Amino acid sequence: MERTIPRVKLESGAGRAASQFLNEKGISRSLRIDLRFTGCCDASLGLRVDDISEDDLYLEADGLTFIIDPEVYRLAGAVAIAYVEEKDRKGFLLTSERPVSEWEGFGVSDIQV
Amino acid sequence: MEQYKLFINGEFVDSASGKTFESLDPGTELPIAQVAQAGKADAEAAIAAAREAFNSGVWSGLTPAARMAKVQDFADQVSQQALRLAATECMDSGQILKLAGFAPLLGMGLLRNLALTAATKFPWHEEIPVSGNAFAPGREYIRREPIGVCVGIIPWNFPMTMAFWKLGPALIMGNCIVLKPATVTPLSALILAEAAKAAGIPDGVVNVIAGPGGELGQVLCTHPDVDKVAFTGSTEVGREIMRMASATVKKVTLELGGKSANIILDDADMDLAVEGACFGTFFHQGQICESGTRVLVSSKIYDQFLDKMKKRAEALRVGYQMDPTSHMGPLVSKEQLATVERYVKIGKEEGAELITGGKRVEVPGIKGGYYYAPTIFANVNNKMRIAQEEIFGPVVCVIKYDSDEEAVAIANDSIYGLGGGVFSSNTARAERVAAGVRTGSMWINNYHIFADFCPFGGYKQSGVGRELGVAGLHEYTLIKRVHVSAMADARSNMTFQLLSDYKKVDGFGYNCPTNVIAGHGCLPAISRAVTDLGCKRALILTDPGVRQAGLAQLAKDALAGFCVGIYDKIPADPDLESVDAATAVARELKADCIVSVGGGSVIDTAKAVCVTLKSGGKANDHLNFLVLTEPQTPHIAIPTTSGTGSEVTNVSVLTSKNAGRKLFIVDAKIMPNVAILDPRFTMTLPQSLTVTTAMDAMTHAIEAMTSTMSNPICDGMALQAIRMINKNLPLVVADGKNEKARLNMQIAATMAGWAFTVAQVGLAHGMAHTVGALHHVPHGAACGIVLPKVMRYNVDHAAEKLALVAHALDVAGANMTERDAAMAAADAIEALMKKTGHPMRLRDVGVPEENLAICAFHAITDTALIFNARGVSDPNDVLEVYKQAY
Repeated sequence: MERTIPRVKLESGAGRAASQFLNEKGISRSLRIDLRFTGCCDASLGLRVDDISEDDLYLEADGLTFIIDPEVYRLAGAVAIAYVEEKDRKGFLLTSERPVSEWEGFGVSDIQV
Repeated sequence: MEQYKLFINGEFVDSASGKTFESLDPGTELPIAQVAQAGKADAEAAIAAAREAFNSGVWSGLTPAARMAKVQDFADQVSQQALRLAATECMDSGQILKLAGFAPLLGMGLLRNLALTAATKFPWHEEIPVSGNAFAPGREYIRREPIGVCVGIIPWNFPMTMAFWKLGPALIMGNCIVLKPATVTPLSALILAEAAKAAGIPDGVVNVIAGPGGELGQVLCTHPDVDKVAFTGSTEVGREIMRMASATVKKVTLELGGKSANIILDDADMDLAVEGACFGTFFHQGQICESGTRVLVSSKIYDQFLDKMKKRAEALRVGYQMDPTSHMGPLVSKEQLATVERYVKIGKEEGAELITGGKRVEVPGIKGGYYYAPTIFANVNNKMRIAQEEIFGPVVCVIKYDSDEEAVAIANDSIYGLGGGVFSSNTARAERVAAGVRTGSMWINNYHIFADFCPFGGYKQSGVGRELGVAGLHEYTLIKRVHVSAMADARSNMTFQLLSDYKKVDGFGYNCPTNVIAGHGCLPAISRAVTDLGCKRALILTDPGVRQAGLAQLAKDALAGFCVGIYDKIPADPDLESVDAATAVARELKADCIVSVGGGSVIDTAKAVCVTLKSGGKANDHLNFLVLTEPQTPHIAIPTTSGTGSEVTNVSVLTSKNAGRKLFIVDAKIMPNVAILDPRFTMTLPQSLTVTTAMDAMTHAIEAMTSTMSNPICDGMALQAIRMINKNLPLVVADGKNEKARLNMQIAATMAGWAFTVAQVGLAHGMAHTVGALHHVPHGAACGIVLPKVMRYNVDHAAEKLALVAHALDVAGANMTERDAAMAAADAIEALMKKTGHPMRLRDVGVPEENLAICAFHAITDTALIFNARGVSDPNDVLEVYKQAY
């Protein structure tokens, strides 16, 4: 069965930032693109260090392994991951082919361990 | 299909881009309305309209009562639309009909309740009776004013209610608002806009724009014409809003996520607890920020509770939201459904036990819809993701605990603190548990109860600020404090002097209300004084020496039936503990009047007792300057010395062991109500005390003359006091039974007291306070010893006044310069002291030479030095004076 994710696009230094994060933490696991709540209403996509499970889809890109639950992929579609590095705003910005909420692209987040 | 437009500046308009989107019924997944989709241009137009409306004053300039009238009209228009609002809300948000039906009613009530509060009870204007700044007298008041243009961003779970919560307080408090409803549930907000227009709320005051938060949020939260952002939604978005708003320092209130703990104690009514746990979690499909999604159950009842909760959850009917028999409707969107399913999967992977639910529900007769079964996970560890992250669906984690303390610890082990519950048959116990949980709302034997006058909001990452209640109304105002200076005169402004070489304060206020009764045999006036004060139970405060001299008994006999006791344990140089001890006796005897019979120590103690008796607490609670707003416990002072002047002054001097110095209560309201100057009370004063207390009075008078706060009224009092002391002290020393001289000394001391209580004292008192506190030197003796040295220290800054003192002392020669006369005054004081046997040196009263430097360091911080004729800022200067006095 095909298990690779058709599209995960890394933009503006996201791959480098993710690699740097994992290296600093001494982690060599995969990065899950996950659907989560950060409190009240409006889900968002975020990154979490995790292990691949049997039914996950995955993709290797820039030396990193991205995994995603197939139900999440079915909902969101292709995912673009950017890294924002501004004076008072730093983190990963995830957008998707089918936005999971109206606030997509608004907030940045860290990689959850 | 219904068409909805944006509401901007009083008109319903298409979006600038012409874009629209569809709003779906989550129960059928079918579109029910087409809505104009706002973009950046529309947001800017709405903000501009709100800004112009606010600046024009068409709404903010109305009185609260006038706004209330308009808000009442708005509420009436909501009532007209109630059925349409309820049905639309039900279809748009998935709320069951029973719930949606309440929302218009509750909204109308909120508008009317809060508008009435704002118009009749809200403190728009508050006078501040005491400012807390003794150096800038004047009138102080605050005005509360609208903030300006407010942005309200609301979520999809309770669209209409959230619209009321944002629109209502913003409007009621005079602001203009741009409201952005959630894109998945925009309709009820736009119907409320119709009601606002029909009610005649002026154009631009209310604006409603529907569109994606990712695009509109940037504009709404960073536009310079927006003054406040009120947001309800996710913590991640809220964090970003706070960050964006910080660039222009907008006011921000955030109501964010929660993972509230519903604590079931072992003595809870089981049926009630089960209902409460289910309601706390499954109401509105769990799509509520404050839901009790962690149910903490005592291990003693865990199994029984879990079994009952499972059965109760499985009895809930999940169905189409417009079906009146449905208990739960659909989740709001497919994204919501997917997220709930994702978390249920995570829960299983984490090892939690799925007791029931965990699957979609198919509703008979309906194709599609986002229905999900009430889901219970048991044996959850609070560290699991399903216990820490908000799921926002009908999923509950049941967690076992052993003790109340453990339950509180688990409840607090969360980044959130929004709501919570306690179920128990013991209210005291439930309240103790509730008090331990760090959260914004706690419900005892209930859940999800909101009320217009009860504030709601979060601790920790659940939010900032409060909604509802008076606290919520305050969030929509700003405070402006206004100070009206008492003196419109540069030379009467003490703080302007910091940039000036002119150190005198010209303007003054003279307020000395003590009723002074003086003369041979005037003691019997005390009984009339007591009744004039409306009192019946007078406690005499005195010291052992005065008691032994029989003077306290004199007062007791004069008081007759009004006297409830004599407390004679006031020490010399009283401290805070001695005040507390005397107050305890006064409380026990239910005294309503204090009669002090003694010297300065007794009278000062009595002043502090009067404050502590009136205001409660301990003496240490009341060491303040000019803060009292009411009359204190009535006080009649009968001085037994002629020095302190305390019988008419506004200060109580007390030693604080902790502070290592004398501290003060200063207030016009501690001036004794009555002072009785009956010479019998000073006839037996030993010579040494007669002399030293007289020098205290002399120091009061001279320092009042030379103070930067001196004024003609006080100068007059002081000069007469100086004359009378100079003349009568030697007479009293020669013959202690000279009653007339004794009376004149009392009057002189009182006049000196009046002089310094307004004009203040200076360096001599600062130095005397210090050696008094550190080395227990009697105050009068210390004053006398340092006074002439301080007069010489001040001579070039107070020559004119000291020359007048020289005249009063009869030592001013006809051809003397002012400076020479001033120095002659200092010499005359020393001569008077020698003549009357006053100690002349600090070494003679037990001050060690090696401690002079420490004394100087303490004295430099005494507040009396502020008013000294010559500025004192170098402790070495003070040390030099101490050495001269040593």
